[in-house]
Amino acid sequence: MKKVFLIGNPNVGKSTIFSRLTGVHVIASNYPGTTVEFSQGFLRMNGIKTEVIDVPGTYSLQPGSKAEEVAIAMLKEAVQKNDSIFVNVIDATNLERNLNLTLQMIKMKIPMVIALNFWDETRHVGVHIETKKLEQILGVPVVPTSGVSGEGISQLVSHLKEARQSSLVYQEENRWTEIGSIVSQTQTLSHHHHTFFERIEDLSIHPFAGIPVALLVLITAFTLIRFIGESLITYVFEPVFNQLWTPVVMFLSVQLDQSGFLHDLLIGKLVDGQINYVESLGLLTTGLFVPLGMVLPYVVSFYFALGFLEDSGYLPRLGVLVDNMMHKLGIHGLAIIPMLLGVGCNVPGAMATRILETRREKFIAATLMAIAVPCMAQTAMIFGLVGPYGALGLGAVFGTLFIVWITLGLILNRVIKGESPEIFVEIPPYRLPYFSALIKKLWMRVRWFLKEAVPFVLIGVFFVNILYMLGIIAFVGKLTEPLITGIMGLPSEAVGALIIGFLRKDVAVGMLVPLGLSMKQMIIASVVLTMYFPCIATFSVLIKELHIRDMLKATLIMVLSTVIVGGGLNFVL
Amino acid sequence: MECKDLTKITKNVDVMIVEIKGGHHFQEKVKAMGLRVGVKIKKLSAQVLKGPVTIKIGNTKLALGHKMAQKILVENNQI
Repeated sequence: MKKVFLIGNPNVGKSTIFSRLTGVHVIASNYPGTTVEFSQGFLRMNGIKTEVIDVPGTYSLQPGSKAEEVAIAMLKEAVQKNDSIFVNVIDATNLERNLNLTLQMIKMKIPMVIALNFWDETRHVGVHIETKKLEQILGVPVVPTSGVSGEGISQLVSHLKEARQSSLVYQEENRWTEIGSIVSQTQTLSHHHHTFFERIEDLSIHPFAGIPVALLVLITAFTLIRFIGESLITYVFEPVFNQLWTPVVMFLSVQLDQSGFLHDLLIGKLVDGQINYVESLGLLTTGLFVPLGMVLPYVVSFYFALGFLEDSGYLPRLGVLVDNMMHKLGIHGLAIIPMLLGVGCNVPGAMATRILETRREKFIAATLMAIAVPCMAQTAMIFGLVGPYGALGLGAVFGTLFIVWITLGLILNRVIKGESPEIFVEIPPYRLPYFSALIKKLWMRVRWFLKEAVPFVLIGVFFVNILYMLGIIAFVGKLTEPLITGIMGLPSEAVGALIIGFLRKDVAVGMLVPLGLSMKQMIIASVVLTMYFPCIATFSVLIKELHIRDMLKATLIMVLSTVIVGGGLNFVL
Repeated sequence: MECKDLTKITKNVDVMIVEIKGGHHFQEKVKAMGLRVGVKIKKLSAQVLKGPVTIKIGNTKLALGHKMAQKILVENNQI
């Protein structure tokens, strides 16, 4: 069976075209390196089901990062098997640079079709390409496309069967001269006026003006996230649970005589004869309310804001602005992307460390993220539980984590041998995000949360009940009392939250509520729960990304810094 | 005509690359992004304290670290 590979430079729109071709939705954003792993899907070609593979972008056939290595290894394997056709996706507004990869691919003598993507944008930037002429020179089909609008996609599909080896012959050492000659024969440039976006451009990467712009962007994003999240909870999710779900559960509770094993497992302990969605700890109460009533609203609002930032093209610019500061931590500015993704969920955050070039950088970035960046599920719970104590409590939690992030980075940069490479990144043009694309991406992420997170929350709540019933939490609590109570000043029952934190951090934060902690203890516990260990989903991805030796090192750092910071907070506050 | 590295030139002026220093790996890396001798570029901004330099080459914008920028020598070319 033939396979179709989508190959091209980073940020030329391969993932968007892939989604159009296959109907399989993958995350597409406006910055180079969104796709760090390949995705597969299928399309019908002449009635035959054909596999389509979206490959991470690469600028040349010499790898520069882990993601590029993946791309090149896949390409070489496919060439050897000789069973594939290759769609070379080109950014039509950057013909010259993109042809570099094209010509290298041509040397491999593989059947190709070229998609000239961002065709709609060429008009705005004053680029005119004669596709027929380009087709003649290269000897392969050339199809203008626009992934976001879907323009040209059906033509691309119908041209797939005409994929063939290029007839172009050139000397390897003359590659750039050849490219220059192709460009001058096929492309004409016309003057264009400065657009609105080019004006913001000047501001957003200006060394001084850039900082207030960045602060404004981040504060706006944060305010928006809180506002949307809070509103969803107050006006949608809480009323739904209270008005519709509570009567159902109460009815069931009465049927189960308000006590007993099954009652405790499904509904949990009633507080003053009523359900308390956070404290009851039943599968149908806390098990559903935590993921749906408390976390989901923030997942929705966070990913809406993130999607907007991703698609606008602002993130690499933010990377340039913070590059200097990040270098002090042993990573370059682009590492801000895994950190921001980690704020949503540490799993994609850990995967995104692949855009960093060296093992040293990946280690530092992944460790810092796993320790000091709480995921949105945990943050939402902290908002819900520490929030009522006022901004001071929240400030203490997130302020401490920020200080930990910086301090640990400074230390790691000194302790770990070697140097981290400098930033070297293409800055995509600003683009106005397509609303439909934003919503599609949001839905993908929300669906992922519902599918991956909710079952784990239910398993978590189930385990809590079993562990309490068997007296394991009390037992481990006694065992760890010197550490938990002696050093960190938390009640020994808090160990239950630490155990469940391996499964889900949101459930773990929720478990702190019945303990009746003081504000100080609540702050310490929130910080400790973030730092001590990643949840199991993140842990398994980190093992894959860092390999076992580095992961053991990272784990040691986590445990040590948790004890120091937990103890320190207990002492200071 | 005098040639300077990218960190020392003024912003928003068209210049031409005359030399790229550094090892083979570095040369290949920047070449793949279109930076090579004879190409016209323009500096857009530079972050303070030896921060990254942003340049424009054709329709591509690139950010590169200070030390990398020092390896790229350009000449003012107002012909």
